[in-house]
Amino acid sequence: MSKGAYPAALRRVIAALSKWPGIGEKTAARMAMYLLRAPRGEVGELAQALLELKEKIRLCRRCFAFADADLCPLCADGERRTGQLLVVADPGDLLALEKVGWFKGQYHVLGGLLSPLEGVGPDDLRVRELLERVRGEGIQEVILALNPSLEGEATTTYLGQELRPLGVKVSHIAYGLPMGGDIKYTDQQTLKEALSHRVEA
Amino acid sequence: MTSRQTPAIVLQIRDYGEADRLVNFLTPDGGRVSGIAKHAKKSKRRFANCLEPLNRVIFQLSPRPRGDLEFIQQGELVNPFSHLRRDLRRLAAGAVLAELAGELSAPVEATGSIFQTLNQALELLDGGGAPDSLLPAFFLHLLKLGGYGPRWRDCRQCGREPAPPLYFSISKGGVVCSSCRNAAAGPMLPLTPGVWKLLRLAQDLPPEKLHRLRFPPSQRDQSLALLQKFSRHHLGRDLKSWSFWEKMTRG
Repeated sequence: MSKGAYPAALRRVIAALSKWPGIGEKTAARMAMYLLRAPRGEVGELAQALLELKEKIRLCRRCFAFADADLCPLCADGERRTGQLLVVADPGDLLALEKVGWFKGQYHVLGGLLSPLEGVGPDDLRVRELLERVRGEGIQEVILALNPSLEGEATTTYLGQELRPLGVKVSHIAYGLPMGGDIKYTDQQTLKEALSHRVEA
Repeated sequence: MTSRQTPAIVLQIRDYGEADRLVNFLTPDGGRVSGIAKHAKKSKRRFANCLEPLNRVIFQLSPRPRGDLEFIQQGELVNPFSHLRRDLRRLAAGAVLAELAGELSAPVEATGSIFQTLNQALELLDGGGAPDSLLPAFFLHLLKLGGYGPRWRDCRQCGREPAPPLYFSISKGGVVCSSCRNAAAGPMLPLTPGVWKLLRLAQDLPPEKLHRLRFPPSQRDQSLALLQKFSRHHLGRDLKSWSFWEKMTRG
């Protein structure tokens, strides 16, 4: 960014915004211009919201999803103690699954996936906490909802090995064709997975 | 702009901006190459199931006008080595070998052999081969192809055929006899005659015969400890995947 074009305060905002994911310098400049023209109250509200985000949002003590109290709203809801636990890699996956509205139990956020080539092992994830929850919270079924990638499948394999000796039912979400998909345009690996994970009609 | 096709084994994937992915892969002609897959996060057809570590693929590449990165226009999956995902010891062994092969992308004349050897190792692991034996055997073989092969036949200090008790000199990259132990500088590891013979054999055998070797647990542990220290010394860092192997084989 050329130093002469904008005053220092504006340059500072553009530089800060262009650090955000998906925001380049041009978009950052447009956003800064919008903030400059916006009413003072709107800008103050945004600044306050950002500060509160940093001050109040933490991880739930039990499931490690985002929370603004000791427990997240899902863990604090007694009706969700159904004995089913759905394991996800990160809070974004939790939000996507929760939007579906099908699952009524509780979640556990691992905080990542095993990654052999990056050296990420079980100790780097919240696996110990998961096993403690399964032992201590009367969990009967654990559903593993991890991406069908090398890392996701390796994590599913590992968790299956660790959870089965605890006497709980362990399942993973189905792999295969997406809804509205077309068999003739689907790649071989996906078709293979769809066939091997077929269900009774 | 001319494009070319190349077989590749994917080593690493990173997100690059909102929609692109940065891919590190091993090729038979160019060794380790970095490329950018534009819109890879959204395009399921151009990169269907391709962009996963350890996948063997065929990439269509075109050079970028500036910079070292190539454009990956599209990819086709050849072998996902999918059984590795359900056996973590095999997966860990495959990851260590893939990372090492990526580090050994030079010299250029060896890249074809390094690619073929890694592919052979992944096929054997995927087919149910014993990771405890395949890992040290192929690790040593890849080191040899990359120009780091240790010397086993004669003492690195006096040049004579060594007699037990034996030592392995990390810095000299070979076996040292007990009388030369003090004269040879640098870190030294004790080497049992069984491990010495096994590693010598592993380095001499062609890769297609390496699956015949069996490393009993104690010899496997000593061999892997030696190879890990040796590669750390010569590559200047520990391979990240060693820690995953250790975690998967602990206990």
